[in-house]
Parts: sequence; C-alpha cells; structure tokens
Amino acid sequence: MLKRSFALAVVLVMIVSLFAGCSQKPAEGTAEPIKIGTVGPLSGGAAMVGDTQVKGIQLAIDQFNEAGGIHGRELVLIQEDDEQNPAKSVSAMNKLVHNDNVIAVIGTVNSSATLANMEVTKEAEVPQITAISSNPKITLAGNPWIFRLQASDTHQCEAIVNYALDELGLERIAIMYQSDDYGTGGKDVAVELLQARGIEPVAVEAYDPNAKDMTAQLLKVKEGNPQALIMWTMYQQGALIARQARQMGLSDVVLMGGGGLTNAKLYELAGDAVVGLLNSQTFFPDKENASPVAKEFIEAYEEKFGMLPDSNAAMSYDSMLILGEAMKAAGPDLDNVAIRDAIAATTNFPGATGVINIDENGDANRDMLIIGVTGDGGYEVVWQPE
Amino acid sequence: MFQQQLIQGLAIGSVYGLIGIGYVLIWNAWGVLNFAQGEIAMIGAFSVLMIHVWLGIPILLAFPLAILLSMAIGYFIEITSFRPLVKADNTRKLIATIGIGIFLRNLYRVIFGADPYPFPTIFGDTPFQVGKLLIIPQNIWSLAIGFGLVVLLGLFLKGTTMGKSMRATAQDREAALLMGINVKGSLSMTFILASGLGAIAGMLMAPMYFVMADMGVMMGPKGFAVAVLGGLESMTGAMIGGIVLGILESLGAAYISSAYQSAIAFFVLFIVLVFKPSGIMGSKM
Amino acid sequence: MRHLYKKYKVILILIAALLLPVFVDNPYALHVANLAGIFAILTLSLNLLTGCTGLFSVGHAAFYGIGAYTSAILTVKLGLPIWAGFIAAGVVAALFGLALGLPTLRLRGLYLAVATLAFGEIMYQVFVNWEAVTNGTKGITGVPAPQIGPFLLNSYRSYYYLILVVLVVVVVLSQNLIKSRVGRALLAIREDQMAAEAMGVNSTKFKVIAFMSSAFFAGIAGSLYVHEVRFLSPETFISAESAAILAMMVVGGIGHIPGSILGGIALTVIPEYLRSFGDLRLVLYGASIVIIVIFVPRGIGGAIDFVDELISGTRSLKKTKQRSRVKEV
Repeated sequence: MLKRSFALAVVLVMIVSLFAGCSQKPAEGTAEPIKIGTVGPLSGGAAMVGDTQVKGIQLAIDQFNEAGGIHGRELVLIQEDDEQNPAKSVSAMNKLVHNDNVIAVIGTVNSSATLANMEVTKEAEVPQITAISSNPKITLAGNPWIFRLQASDTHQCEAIVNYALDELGLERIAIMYQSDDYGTGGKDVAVELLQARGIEPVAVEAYDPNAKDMTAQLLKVKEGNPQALIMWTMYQQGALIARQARQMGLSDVVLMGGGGLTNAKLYELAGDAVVGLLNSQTFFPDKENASPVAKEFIEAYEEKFGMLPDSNAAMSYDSMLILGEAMKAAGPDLDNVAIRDAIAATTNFPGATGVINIDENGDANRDMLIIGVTGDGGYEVVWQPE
Repeated sequence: MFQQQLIQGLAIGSVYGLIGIGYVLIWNAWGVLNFAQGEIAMIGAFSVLMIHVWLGIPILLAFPLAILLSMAIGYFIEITSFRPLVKADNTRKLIATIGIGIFLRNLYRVIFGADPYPFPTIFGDTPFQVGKLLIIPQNIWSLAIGFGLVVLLGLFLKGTTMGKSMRATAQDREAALLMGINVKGSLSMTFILASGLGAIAGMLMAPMYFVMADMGVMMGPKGFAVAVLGGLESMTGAMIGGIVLGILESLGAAYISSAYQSAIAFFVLFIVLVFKPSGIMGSKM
Repeated sequence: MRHLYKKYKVILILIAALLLPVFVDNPYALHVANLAGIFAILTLSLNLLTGCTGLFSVGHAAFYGIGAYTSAILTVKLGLPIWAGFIAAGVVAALFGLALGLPTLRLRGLYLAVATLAFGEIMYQVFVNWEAVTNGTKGITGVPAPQIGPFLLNSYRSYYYLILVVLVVVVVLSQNLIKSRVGRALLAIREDQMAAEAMGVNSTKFKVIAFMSSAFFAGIAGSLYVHEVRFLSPETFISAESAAILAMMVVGGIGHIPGSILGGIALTVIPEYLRSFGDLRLVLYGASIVIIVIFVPRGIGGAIDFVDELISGTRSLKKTKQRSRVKEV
C-alpha cells in the first residue's frame, strides 16, 4: 500500500511540476546568457549525427564565449532530443521556443522532422537554421523563418551523378537507398537526373534504415551488372553495404554516394571495402588540403573532442557562426526579425564548409566537391569545379 | 541467384533463431515474453567487444568470458525486474520487459556513445566459392552454432538434474515446489541461460553488423515473431522459425520488392498463423 | 462531505480540465496536454480491445496511422472539410479493424499478438512505401487547422477544447459500451471464451465488434493528431509506438477506464518532464515504466480506485492491514 501511494504521489508531483515549471518566468538580471536551442536525434538509430551536430554548435559557441560573448553576454546551448520522430520533434521545438525562450534554433537532422517542427518556429517567429536536413521542400515552403546550410539533395545528387556520367563515362548505374526521407529524397533526385540524361538505372533497391543485412538487395543489384552503385545512406550502413557488396562479388563496382557517407568512421568500420568510394561534399575533412577556415576548425574540433569532424559537424559549426554574426549585426536587443534578416543577407561568408551565400529561399548552396577515400583511410579531392 | 538468396536467408535466419530460442526458454519458465531479448544480445556484443578488443584477450578465452559477463548482467536484471513480478500477470511482465529494453539500450548509448564500433571478424568473412555460390564462413558458423546449441540445450534440459528441475518448474511451478525443487534457483537459471544464449547471438552479430547500443532494436520483435512462429514450445521450432523468416525476407526482397521486404515476411507470417493458429511446430492448444 | 464527493467528483474533474488552459499559458504545456489527451483516447481504444475483451494487440499504432492518413489525405489532397476527414478516419480504421479481426478469430493469446504485430509492421511499410497515396517518408505538409463555425482552432489552446470534448465523448461511449450487454459479453470472452460460448455468447460477433470499435476510436485519435501537429509522416506509427500504447494501458490499469486515461497522460507527460534530465531522459523513462509496473500492481487506475474508496469511505485502512497479513502461497 505504501509502495502504491508513493508511486502515485511521484507521478502526481511530476505532472504538477511540469505544468507549474512551464509558467516560470526567467529571473531578471544583468548580463543574462543568450540561449540558443538545438533539436536533434540524440537517441535511436541516428544518434551519432545528433551528437556531432551538438558538438559542432558547441565548438562555435565556445569560440564566441572565449572572445567575450555576443553583446557582452555569454552564449548557452540548450539541447533537446527528438528521437528522429517528427511528432517528438514538434514537442521538443515547442519546449525550446515556449519554455526555454531561446533566441534561435539550429536543427533538426531528419528532413521529415524539420518539416514538422519548422511550423512551430514559423508560428512563434523564431529564426531556425537546419544544418543537416537535405530535403528541397524545406526551403520551398514559403516559410521566411527557416534557413538551411546543408547542400540540398538536388545539389549533392547532381554533383555525383554528373561526375559519374561525364567524368567517368559510366552508363550502368545501380541505386540503393535507405527507405526514410533522406534516402528516398536522394533516390528520387538520382532517378530523375539519370532519366533526364536518357539512362535507366539498372537496379533501384530500398532497405530499412535499421537493417543490417542488405545482401538480398545487393544480389539483385548484381543481376543488373552495374558499373557503379550510388548509395544514398549514412556512413554506418554505407560501411555495411560496402563490405557485403564485396562478399557478394561486387568488388569492381564503383561505390558512390552523398554527404551522409563522409566520416572517418567509414573506413574504420569497413576497411578496404570502401577504398575508392566517392561522394559529393562541400566539406573536405583533410587538414592538409583544406581551406584555412576549415583547417582551423578541424584542429580545434580534434583538440576539443578527440576525434575528426565530419561534414555534419562542420555544417553545424558554420550554422552557429552565421547565427552568431547575425546576432551581432542585429544589435543588443536581439530583435528576432533583425536576426532573421541578417541571416538572410549573408554573403561571401567564409565557413568551414566553403564560401556561403544565403539565397532568396534561405538555401546556402555552394560549390560541390567530389572526394574519394584513399588507401590509408584518408580523403582526397577527386574533382572540383573550375 | 535463387540459391544464393536462400543461403543469405539462412544466414540471417540463424541469428533470428538464436534470439527466438531465448524467447522460448524464458516463456516456458516464466510465462513472459522477454521483449528485451534483443538488448540481451546487444549486451553480449558489447561484452565481447570490451573483453576481446579493448582488453586484448584472445578470442577463444574472450568468448566464454563475455558469456559469463552477460549472464551476470542477466542475473542482475532478473533479480531487479523479473523476480518482483513473479506473481504478476503476463501483460504486466511484458510491459516490464519493454521498459527494461528501453532502459538498457539508452543506458548503453549514454555509456558507450552512439557511434557503431567495428569488430574484427572471427570466423572469416571472405567468401569461398562452391560452384556458382558464394559461401561466407561466418554464416556457416552461425548456423552450426545455432543448431549445436539447440542440441546441447536439449541434452542439458533432459539429462542433468538442473535441467530437469528447470523443465519441471516450467511445466508446473506449484507441483515442483511441492516436490522440493528449488524453484527460485531454477527460474534464475533459466534466465541466466537465456541471457547466455542472447549473448552468443550478439557475439555472432558483432563481426557482421558492428556493435552499437541500438543493434537489438530490430531483433526484439523479430525474435518474438520467430519464437511464436515456431510454436513457442520447442527450441528447434524457434530455430526453424528463424530460418523461415530469414528466407522469407531474402526471397521477398529478391522477387517481390526490396522496399516491402519485412512487410512481405510479416504478411506470410500472418497467413501462416491464420491457417495454423499454433505456429509451425506448435501442438493443438 | 462524502456524499458530495461521490456525486460531484466527475464534474469537479471536468471543471478542472476546462480551466486548465486558463491557468496554463505556455504553448508547450498546452501542446503536451493535447498530446496527452490524444494518447488517452488511444489508450481507451486499446483498452476496449485488450483490456476488456482480452484480445492482445501489439499493433494498435496501425489503426492510429490509418485514421491519421485518411484524415490527412482527405483534407489536404482532396480538399474535403475537416469533419468529413474526422469521421472518415474513424470509419476507415474500423473497416481495417474488421479486416484484422475476421481472419484472426481463431487465434488466442500470444499467437494473436504476433498476428497484430505483423499487421502493424505491414501497415507501417505501406505508409512508408506507398508514395502515391501517403507521400511516403516525405510526409504530408500543410494540414489545415479545424474550423468550427466562426472559430478557427489554430492555436494549441483552442484545439485543447476540441480534444477535451472528443475525449469526454469517447469516455462516455466506452462506459456505455462496457456497461451494456455488449460489454458484458466482451468481459465474458476475456475471462473464458469457451465458457462464454457455452452460455450462448456469439464470440465471433462480439470479437469483431471489439476490433471495429477499438479501431474506430484509434482512427479518431489519428485524425486529432494530424490537425494538432499539422504534418504527417510514417515514423509516428512504428511498432515501438504500439508497444508504448500497450504500456500506457498496463500502467494505467487493464480494463480500467479512468486508468487508461491516466496511463495515457502519464506516459506522454513523463518523457517530456524528463527532458530536464538531458541525456538520461530515456534511461529514466524505461526505468520509470518498470518501477510503475512493479510497485503499482493494479496500475494508476487501481491506485486511484484505492484513494477514491478511501475518500468515499468504502474502504478503511484497518481492513487493508489485516488483509496483507495473510501470507501468499
């Protein structure tokens, strides 16, 4: 009986304090910190991406704070988990915007979650930058409060498909994609681009984002006798596919993909199977040959977190840099409209992921590189625009 | 391609089967479906990762050590979460296992991070050719270990006193109690054994599929489906159920649609249940 | 005093619920309250099927999703009015309930559970892959806000009232169903199907009724969800959601109507509340489920009953102490 009443009391206290806590106003004081919000998948299958997003933003915030903050105020990051789930992303965004009263939000990772949660920032008129979501619809929805730093699927796919057809002169191309918004988005663009050039892909196979065994799909791909396999997937499954492709006898097929594959872990997980893998990227993760800004970023990231950053970390970093500059430009009262307009006006900004211009839709499209995995697990630039 | 697909199906199927056997064991002894069985496998994978890769202990020794470690963790789970629910009805036990699963996979994510860990191949993952077919040694080992365990467990359960106590407890707990059998001990033993099995499944998965906190998420519901498909009464049934599901997934992807892969497998499962309501090898209820 | 309590307790609760948005200003809290209401309805629907009839369902998110997609497709793609989408959501879900209920009549217990799990998985894959109809993982955007006469319900606060009204209606309908002959038949089937049949209960007819009404309410919940979040994509309906709804029902108290509501609310509010624990959020959530299941055997509903009986005087603490002295076998 005691146990029961105790548990009941605990639940009631939690319910009451949730609602009570929500109505608290922040304490008044001088030099109050500026709150920046971020939403991402901090648990579940995409947790590693949510994790790097936070790290990238945090690095930028630390750098701003070391330089004295913005308008004399310290920056503070509040992170929320959306479990890759659009409904939960809406809840998380609501908390950041209405409970924590953040100035702006950077997030989220999964396009469908961003499409859902950007309604909240639009309604509340809070600037939002998504560093990683790649679905073109995000910036075409007529929402003036959302900006995107990732190169959209269209751009990434165009770059890799054009490279395959024009530079490598390939004709028989197979596509494999993870059956979520990221993979399906990339697949749609790839198929469209190929068909526009009069080429029909020899195989188009989907697999569950949580699946571990793609051999069934690879066998079907093998039937089509492809020269190249475009995989629109994250590096973890990319590594699995690369290994399984080898096992199924597809060693001569050129493996290609988009930004999701770029990560030092790819080689760590798959070893030799990914040597020679090509992907489109704006961020070149090699200190030696990177731009000065990128080089500094890589070094700082490595020093702080003990690991090499991938493109997601870099884009999150750039997002925070741009947001920070916009906040500076907006003046000490940090008016939301002023911040938004300052972001929209970003031109020729030197970021870790290239020179950034925000266009009229809120996109930051820039030059794409094609990078490849070298024999020792590093990266080299295989192609860049003139 | 058909035969190759079959072989691939067999390979993943034997892993499903191993997890299914864990379900059958716990079901028969406790009357509960341990929806956290996938997480038990994940614990096994992490155990062997820590012991073999991080501590550098050679694999032959690391394997049994990891099994022991997983069993210890399993025992801890049993004491804290299963024992208090011994007299509860099945639905409550099931929900408790769901909670345990969520707890474990997030705990491991917080401790070990979200990135996958590579695991060196134990049995070799370069395929050799038999005629036109490519056979990966790893897969043969999975199958062999799977069926081998079924046989070993069968012998243990029928031949040893401990095993017989476990079976007696599973059949009729009150009668066993009256007969002087150490019911508590038998129940614990069953759970520990199932943990060991899950751990072995996880260790077989590690070199193939990397080690990450999330790796049990898909395995849980599939293991459940497999155990029920096999009739929930025999371990052989679970193994066969696992292989059937694995083959269905492979062939479904190959000949119908890769996107609908698991839907096809589940659809066939559904049809099987409609026509044989007690599973492939189950007896009449 | 006790007299008044018994008579007016329901009205008091309703008044408190009506006044909540007046005192709680924060849109986040209201959004969580709305979700809690939607999940309360979902849990009630599952309660009809699993709690009252004993038909173990681990695929309930499928009906939720079918309702949601029906509503979204009709309003966004076909431009139909929202109330039409709302009703259609329930009806279409009920039809699928029939489709699931009929073939599985012979299945019992766990075998039925696997069949429902299979159904849930299949529906999810259909949501993901049938892009022509559901837009797949790209999702359906631009779901409109409901309009009732002159009132445009486009804020969480105004929508709260709609959800509250629907919740009350669902509760009333569920209560009436359970207290009626139908409800008694369902309970009889849960306790012992063969005995029930021997007494002349047409188990086929009643099982189908259970499936269809349960699915209907779940579909309605789906429609409410779609107009709250204004965006729809398949991830909301993965089998983990079905497990969560089942957990809500068990935590709330199997077969217990107020319990189901509280279970739905509790397991919606707790993960949100735990956000202040950062990374440990889901670890604690899993633990809280286990703790509640172990320490609150009859669910929150049972605990509420206990408090309720204490207040109404039908139970005294003294008797309890005596009872607990009897050793369990």
